[in-house]
Amino acid sequence: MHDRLAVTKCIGSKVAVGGGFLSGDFKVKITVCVAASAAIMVGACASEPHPWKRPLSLDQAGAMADTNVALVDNNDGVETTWFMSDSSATGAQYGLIGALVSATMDGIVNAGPSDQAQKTADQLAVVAAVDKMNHSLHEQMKATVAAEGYKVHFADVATMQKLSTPKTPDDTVEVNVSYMLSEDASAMKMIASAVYQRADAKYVTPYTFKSVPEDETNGPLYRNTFIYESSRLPLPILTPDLKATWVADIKQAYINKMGRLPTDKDDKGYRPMRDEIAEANNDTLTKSEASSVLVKAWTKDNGVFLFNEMQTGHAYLAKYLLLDLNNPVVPKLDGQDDVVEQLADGRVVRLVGSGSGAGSYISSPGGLTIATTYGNAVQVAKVNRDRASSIVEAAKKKK
Amino acid sequence: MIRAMVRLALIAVGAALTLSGCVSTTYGPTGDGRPYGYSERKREDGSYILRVSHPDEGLALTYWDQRAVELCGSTAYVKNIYQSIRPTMAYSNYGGMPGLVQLEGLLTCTSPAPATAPVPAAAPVPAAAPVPAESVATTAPAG
Repeated sequence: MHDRLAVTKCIGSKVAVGGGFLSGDFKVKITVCVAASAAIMVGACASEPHPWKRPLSLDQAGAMADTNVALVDNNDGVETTWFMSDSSATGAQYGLIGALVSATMDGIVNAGPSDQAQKTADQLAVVAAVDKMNHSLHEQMKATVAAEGYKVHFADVATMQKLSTPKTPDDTVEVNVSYMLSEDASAMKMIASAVYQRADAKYVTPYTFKSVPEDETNGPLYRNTFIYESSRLPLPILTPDLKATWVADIKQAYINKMGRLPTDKDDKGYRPMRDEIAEANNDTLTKSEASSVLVKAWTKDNGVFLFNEMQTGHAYLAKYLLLDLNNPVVPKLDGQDDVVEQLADGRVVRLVGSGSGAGSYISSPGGLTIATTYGNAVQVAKVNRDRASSIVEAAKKKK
Repeated sequence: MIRAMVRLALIAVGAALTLSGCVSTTYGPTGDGRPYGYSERKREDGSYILRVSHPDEGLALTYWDQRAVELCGSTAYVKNIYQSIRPTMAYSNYGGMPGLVQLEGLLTCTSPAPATAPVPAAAPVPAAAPVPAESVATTAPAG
């Protein structure tokens, strides 16, 4: 359950680490999942645990009535994920030299998956323009109609760019959404958080504590998390043709990098190229190999599959956000998960019942067999990083 | 230096393997210090939410089906696995690796289930507690 909360807290909070001591492109952003998990664990020792979700009481919902919604523009697009290797703890036992050796080894180990993730992010960004993604969310939120009996309704649904306008207007539901692709690109996950606060209303914790934790004495009146997991793409089947394509791609990459194919054993790129070709030719499908194939399914026909999934995810978010704003039930730390909706295609919406993530919603496809993974490091497409930088620069100049 | 680090890594792997030998990965319920295995909860409509945690993906699926047969008394059931993931396990400062396979799904018996689901005698599982009303949201309105 803590994992779910950690993911929640990761939205929009990433730490840039790494500096490119091996490669200029080796820019890595680590999600704060690790830090959040650690903080939660430490926090659990220091104070009594409590769910992250804060429900609105009926009175608060009644006072909100028609409420504006601010959709925070997503600037990172679809992030790609990979698992970062870190042997610094081992290396540190051997002093400075050990630290340098472990950093070098990590750099070598991480370079491959990092590069593949960057490549996939860049490929996706060609069709998955952030403006189009943000527009899809805006349209779905505007189209949502409150059910009969709902006290909270959406009034004006607007978008806002936090990079240039950091402050959300008072008495507004703020929604942040991020998107990430699984390590093998077989699935995409949308993580949305919603927060509401009003200057003249103070949050009062509904829980009984021996000593009220500091973070339960202030902050928003309402907050919750909504996760949408896309339909899964089947993993590719290894064929001689597929392997031949990979080998050709590897050779071409080395020609592009070195100006010619490294054919001599003394050539700098010969050994790594040989190893990569051997891996491409073996009978094991790695996550990177799967990703290189499946990204094409996401971008095919201008990303029709990608945007269909996003649209479905945005509609789910709009529907369940409105439902949840009107749901005064206080989640319990020791409740149980339950399925709250089953769709004809097997998709299931479940309510997390216990732990720090109690009260959050997850929409997942049904009929799953193969386990997927989302790495702890993410890569953002270069075009999106550049776009975000230019927005920040423009905002600075305006001041 | 590299040799020493490799040696240290090998020792760590060896220790991990030795220690993991103490944790049973055979079929059985989770709990009582046992991280691998199955757990379930019976819902009000008679269906079950069945979970399996295991390091091996193939065995996780096998165990899910095995427990489903036990709960339903036969292979007459409908399954809908909606969670199949290896959540990230963090280590060191920035390291991450895939954790245990986590399967979770809805199990609906299509023929009358046995009065009491068989439970391995060595590790009895307490009857599923009724769901606290507070933890169940109302089903979302259509549209």
